[in-house]
Amino acid sequence: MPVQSASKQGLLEVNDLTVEYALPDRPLTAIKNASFRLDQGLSLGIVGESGSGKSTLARAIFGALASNGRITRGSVLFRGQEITAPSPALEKLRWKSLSFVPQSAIASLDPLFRVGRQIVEIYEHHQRLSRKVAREKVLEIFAAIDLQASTFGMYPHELSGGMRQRVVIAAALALRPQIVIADEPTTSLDTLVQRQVFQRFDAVRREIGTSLILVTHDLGLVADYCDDIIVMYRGEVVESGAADNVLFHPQHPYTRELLRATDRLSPAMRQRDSAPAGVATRTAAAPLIEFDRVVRVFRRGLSYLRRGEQMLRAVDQVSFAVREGEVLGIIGASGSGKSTIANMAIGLDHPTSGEIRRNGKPVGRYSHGADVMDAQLIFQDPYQSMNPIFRVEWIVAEAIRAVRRQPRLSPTEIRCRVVAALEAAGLHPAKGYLASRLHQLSGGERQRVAIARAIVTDPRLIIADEPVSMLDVSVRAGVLETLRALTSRSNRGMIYITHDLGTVGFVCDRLLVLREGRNVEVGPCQQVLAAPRVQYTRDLLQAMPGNKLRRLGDDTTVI
Amino acid sequence: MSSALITRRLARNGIAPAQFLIAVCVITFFALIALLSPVLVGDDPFENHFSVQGDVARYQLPSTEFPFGTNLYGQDVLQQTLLGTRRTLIIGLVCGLVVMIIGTVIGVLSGYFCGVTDAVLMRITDFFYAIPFLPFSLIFVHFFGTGLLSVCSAMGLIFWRTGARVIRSVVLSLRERQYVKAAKAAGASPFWIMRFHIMPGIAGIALLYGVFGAAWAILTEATLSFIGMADAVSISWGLMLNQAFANGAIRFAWWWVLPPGVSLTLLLGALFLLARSLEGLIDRRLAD
Repeated sequence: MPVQSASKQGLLEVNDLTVEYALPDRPLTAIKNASFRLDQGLSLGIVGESGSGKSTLARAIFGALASNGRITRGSVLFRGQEITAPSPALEKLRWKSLSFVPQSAIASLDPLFRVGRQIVEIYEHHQRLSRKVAREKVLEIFAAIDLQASTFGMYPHELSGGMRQRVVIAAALALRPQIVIADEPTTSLDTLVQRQVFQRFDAVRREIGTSLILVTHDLGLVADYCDDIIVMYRGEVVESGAADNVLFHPQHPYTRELLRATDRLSPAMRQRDSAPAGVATRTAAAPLIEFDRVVRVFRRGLSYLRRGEQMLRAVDQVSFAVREGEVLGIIGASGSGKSTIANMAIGLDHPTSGEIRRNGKPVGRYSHGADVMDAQLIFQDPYQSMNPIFRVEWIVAEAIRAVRRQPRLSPTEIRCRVVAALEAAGLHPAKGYLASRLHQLSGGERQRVAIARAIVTDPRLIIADEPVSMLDVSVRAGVLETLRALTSRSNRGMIYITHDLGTVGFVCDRLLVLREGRNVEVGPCQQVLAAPRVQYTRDLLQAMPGNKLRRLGDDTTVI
Repeated sequence: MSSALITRRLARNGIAPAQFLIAVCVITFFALIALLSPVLVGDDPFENHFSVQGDVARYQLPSTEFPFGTNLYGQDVLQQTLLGTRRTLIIGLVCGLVVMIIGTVIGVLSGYFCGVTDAVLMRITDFFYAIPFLPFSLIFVHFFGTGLLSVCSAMGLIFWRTGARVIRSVVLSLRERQYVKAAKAAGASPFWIMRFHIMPGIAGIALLYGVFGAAWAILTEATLSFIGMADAVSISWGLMLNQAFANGAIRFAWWWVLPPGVSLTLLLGALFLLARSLEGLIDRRLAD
């Protein structure tokens, strides 16, 4: 605990808090004896992996546990007042003194009302302001958080992810509460937007003297914005203290592991061990895949009433090639056309103009069988991209069994290949996983199953669409190592698509930076990271959270 | 499936295990009767019984000789009720299957392929929605007779429409799943995707509408018989009710009306319970 004078009462004190969830068969202790305190105007970061209980802790403080959750021991004190159990006292404090920024803004905004109206409501309800005065107040806070006044009259679906997140932040700050609890407030946003939103949020918060509890898995964010840190692991607070202290001198092995994982993925800090020998000399062979001035235009009808069409150039004159043994990184914000490129490369979508060639041959509109199996796609979300009703063996074997081939493989042969693929994807012993169901596996294991499914057909090209962005930091590096090994040890090529600059230095040989469908920069990975030629790339690099962490890392050996 | 799992899945649909058991028992009971009735009570439901005086034994109250009494024509109500089970169950089974198969095929194809396929199939569905059932079946029966096949076809042709629409809407959401896209990216054919990724997701609903179809068919057959579109040579519960009504006996001869009425109610109730149970039992979810 940050040591403070005992006489001074903290703004928020959490003592010995224990939370249990009632599951159908047994109670699950989500938080064990968590204690911390937060003082006026300061910020506290709660870090941990998924399942560590950090979100539960935030919800317990706000009195918004899921219906099967219960605080079994301990207390939460706000200015010395007990708010442990849901009570009228807590009801009065809520939103006025204690507010909440959820992770998913779209889920917490009502799609049927204009966003301004939804915040006006807060003022009407809590401060009995007239609608007109409330409107002024909303516009004021919108301006503070960099939202244009025109946003007031828009519906949630008309806003971008970043704008929506600003709206829920505005809602949380509306009544100038003493504490804002933010549960992964910017995790779903792009790095660039994330930085803009969070900087604004933090500035406004400091200005009105609000304390912040930031729940996140991102050590970089915490390092940049928080005064104190508590690290949670399996429901327990394993380390706490001033941010610099924890980051400089991590005591608990888990914190060290977390820092090491973050550190390993910093750009420029770790280079790929070896550049593939003689990429240049191999240019004679036809590239595995080649995009030649590819354009993809989507038509979007505006609405029934407003006639006319909007043309969206999702991919605009993009050209690149991937050769054997090479990893091409494609980075860009969401909406930059990354996924459209992935879809076209795999044959799920087709260019409006331009040409895509695989092994020197143009890809037709309808390709089946062997052509398809030559390239496989790894999806972002290992929870959605595999059908949960099947067992691992079936899921991995699907890519072989679903495509008719000559000669047919026997069940034994299929099983052999599945086992080999699982081993190659880093699941040992592979036989033990065959009969598993997905919900029995961790996120990292699931993504490895997804990798096994992609390599089971022995494709020459792997397209990985944000393969680690849904995974916990501590398993990211391992999964990326596996992906890396799969390409460097064979003559496979890979397209690695991400918005996270932190991982590209670890995986890629060359880098292609996309902005609004256009290719703004391309070059060898280290060169682009070290000396970006374009302002946009510089902005992206600058926006990565954890600058402070990297500085710390440069000065001392953290590990 | 363990009993705990069955209980949990039933509970999802708000059904107690006892209710499920009762439904199964009632349906098994009627199925046994349908199979065994000719052995139990002979196979002529239209046999006229006579009293010792030689008169037709009309309107006999239930007694040891006629446990359910007799009707206007001196026919044994118990015998008619038991023999009527057979036609009722065959109609339910055949129509249920027809409704399930047509509904599933149309719904899955329509939802999966979208576009022109969807437009054509759904307009056909709309067309069948626009057909009022009773006039349609009257004409149908007029042309094709009141035989089992004809009545089943008339009902099967109409009742698939709701199932098809509901199944289509579920398929529309299933086809957008990431794992479907993953299968497509791996080169799987539409047939493969429908077989392994779509069908398991709609099996529960398809079965639900199949059983609903069976229940509606049984009820409708009774209605058709009741309004006089019955096959006069094969006994059914609807025909019994029709005769009781036509002769004005429905007001006093309760023993003539109750057996077919109660049987219909029991069987339909059990079928609806079964439908709800099966929907929960078949639905494979992560939560298990």
